[in-house]
Amino acid sequence: MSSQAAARSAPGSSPARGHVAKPRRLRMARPAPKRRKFPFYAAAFLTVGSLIVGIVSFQALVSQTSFRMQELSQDAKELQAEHDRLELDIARLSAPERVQKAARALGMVAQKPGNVRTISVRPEREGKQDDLSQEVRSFSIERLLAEPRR
Amino acid sequence: MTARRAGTSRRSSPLRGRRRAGGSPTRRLVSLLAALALGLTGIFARLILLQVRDASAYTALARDQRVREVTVPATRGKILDRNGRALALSVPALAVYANPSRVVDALAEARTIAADLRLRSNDVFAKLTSPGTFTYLARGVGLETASALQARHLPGIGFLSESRREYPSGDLASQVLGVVGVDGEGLGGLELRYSAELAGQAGRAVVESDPNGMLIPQGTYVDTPPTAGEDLVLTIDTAIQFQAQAALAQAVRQNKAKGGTVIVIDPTTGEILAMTSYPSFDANDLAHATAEQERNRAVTDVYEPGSVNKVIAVAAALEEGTLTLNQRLRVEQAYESYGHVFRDVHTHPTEKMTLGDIVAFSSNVGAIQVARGLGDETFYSYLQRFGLTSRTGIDFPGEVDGVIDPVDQWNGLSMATIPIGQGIAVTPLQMAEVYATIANGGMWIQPHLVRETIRPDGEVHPVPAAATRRVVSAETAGAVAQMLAYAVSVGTGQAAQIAGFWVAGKTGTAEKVRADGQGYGDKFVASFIGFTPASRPALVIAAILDEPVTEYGGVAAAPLFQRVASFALTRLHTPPAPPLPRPPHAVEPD
Repeated sequence: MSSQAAARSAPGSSPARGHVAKPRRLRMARPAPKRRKFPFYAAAFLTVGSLIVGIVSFQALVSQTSFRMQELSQDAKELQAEHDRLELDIARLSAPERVQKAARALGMVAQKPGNVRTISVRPEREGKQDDLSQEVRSFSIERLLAEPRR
Repeated sequence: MTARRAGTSRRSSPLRGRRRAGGSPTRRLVSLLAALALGLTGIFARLILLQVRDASAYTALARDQRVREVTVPATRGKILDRNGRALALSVPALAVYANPSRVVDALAEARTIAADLRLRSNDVFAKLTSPGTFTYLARGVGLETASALQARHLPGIGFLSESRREYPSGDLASQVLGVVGVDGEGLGGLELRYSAELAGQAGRAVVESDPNGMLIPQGTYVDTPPTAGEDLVLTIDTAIQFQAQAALAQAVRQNKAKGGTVIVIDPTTGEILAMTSYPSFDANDLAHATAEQERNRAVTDVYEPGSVNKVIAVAAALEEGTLTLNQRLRVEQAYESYGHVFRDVHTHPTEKMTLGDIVAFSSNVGAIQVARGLGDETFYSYLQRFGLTSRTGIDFPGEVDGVIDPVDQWNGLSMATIPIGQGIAVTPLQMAEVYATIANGGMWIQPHLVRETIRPDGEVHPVPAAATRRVVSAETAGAVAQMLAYAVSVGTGQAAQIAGFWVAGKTGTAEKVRADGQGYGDKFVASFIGFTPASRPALVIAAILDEPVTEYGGVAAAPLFQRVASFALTRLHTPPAPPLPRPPHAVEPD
């Protein structure tokens, strides 16, 4: 028995029925449509990648800002220290003792008592005190020159 | 087949033996399981201990290792003179410390540090080899000085930020300003009195740091910023203060005195323009200052005022009407009381004297007579009214009371000694205030050193108005001013005259009690207290010299007054004022 005969006498086509069954036509099964996975992976990769990049960038920015703040804070402290030092320098330089020494070094002498006068001036206009009627204080040069130096 | 069985038998024989020794596999497994369970239970129990019971403690321990709380010191406020010149200010500095356990070569490091910081190497070496892990080597080191040392990176040497108090004018008003300690706390003077205002409030910072102490940028950071202290604006005028100090030092040298005091007051406001005592000290060099130099003796020490006290009896007599300006008293050369003889310094026959003469020529006998005419109760009440029995209440720490016994404890001599300023002790400021009261038309004004405070935001807060009280009437004050001007014109105070200005004042020459307290010796306190211009007072100046060889107030102290007053008048652009009329007088001046 050949193989073909064997196939014809398969249990499904029993010769006992007396007729030959018409063989069914087999239809080719369609393969399940392949789902394209690439866009999903790409999207996922992009999303996760973007998040990672975003978070890392954000953290880097925060760190950078933080370092910058520290730098600025340090700068501010140094500037404040410099300001304080300069303020101290000004105070030292304007101390009376230093000014007196500097003046003496320049050949200046202290005025003697009585050589400088302060006078009170009350100018009047047409018998009525004007805006300058308030007490004006000034040195009396005339008297200074008139008086012999003592 | 037999052989295989025999072989099997040979191999299985030891197995059977082990089974016999360890029991069945089930039992062994159970035992193993039990052991594992026991072990796991132990681990679990330990986990509970660590994670539950001690969790908070370990959390705190971990936090403490990386999180630290730092106190951020507040910047101490400045002290400024009345024109805004800085008299005291704080600058950043560093504290240098050592961790002796990490010092490698103590001797070499000690030499280096001592050279950089100008310290004794032996002292530094002792600290570097001391037990412990922390010791200060120097405090308040300037940033420039410290930077050289920092650059050396010496093992075991560290630096801490702090501030240092600087007094740019050195000894200028140092006794008034006072000093601060190494931690910035006020120790004396205005630094102590206004310590709360100057100090501000320290801030707090909680920071997260790595093992090297570097801040972790995104770590915990809680910051409570410090509040800077307030600035003090004083009534002191730097230029007048400087001149007063220079004049005082010169007067002490010229008169070979032991010391002295000068006070300059604006009588119309009670503001103190200058206040100094000699010897003084450099506030930047506290280590070499003595307690005597640090004392502001204008406020903290008392002295027997002598004849400058005579104005109280005279003012009281006028105010009470027991004497008039024209009335003449018969004044002898000497007065005896309870076996003690009180004499006038200048020899004169028994003569008639007015109140003006008594003041101008500083008659002891006349002043005693004036006081006796008042009676001890009334006279004592005027000592009280002029403020000699109580503190002035100046805003300065350590002010002392005068030493005046209550009137019910006076003895027979009291009414002879107290009118001439002996047997009592007052502070120079109390006595200066007597003259400020006369200069201010009989109105006493509480003296003060601080004008206003300035908050960190720039808000200015004037101090409360000074307390005032009327002591004598304006008429009485005016009459006493006439007598004081007469004393300078023709009397004992002529050396206080200033060209172009009329001066009113009184000399004082007080005997000093001997060191052993047994009576008076041959040492004197010379003083001159007065005001100018006499008819429109702008300045009250007390000039006091302790133990000058020249003895007399008119010789030793009046020129000191004159020198300080001359400068202050120019400095304040004070215009001259017309002279006061001479008071009635019976004694013709020489």
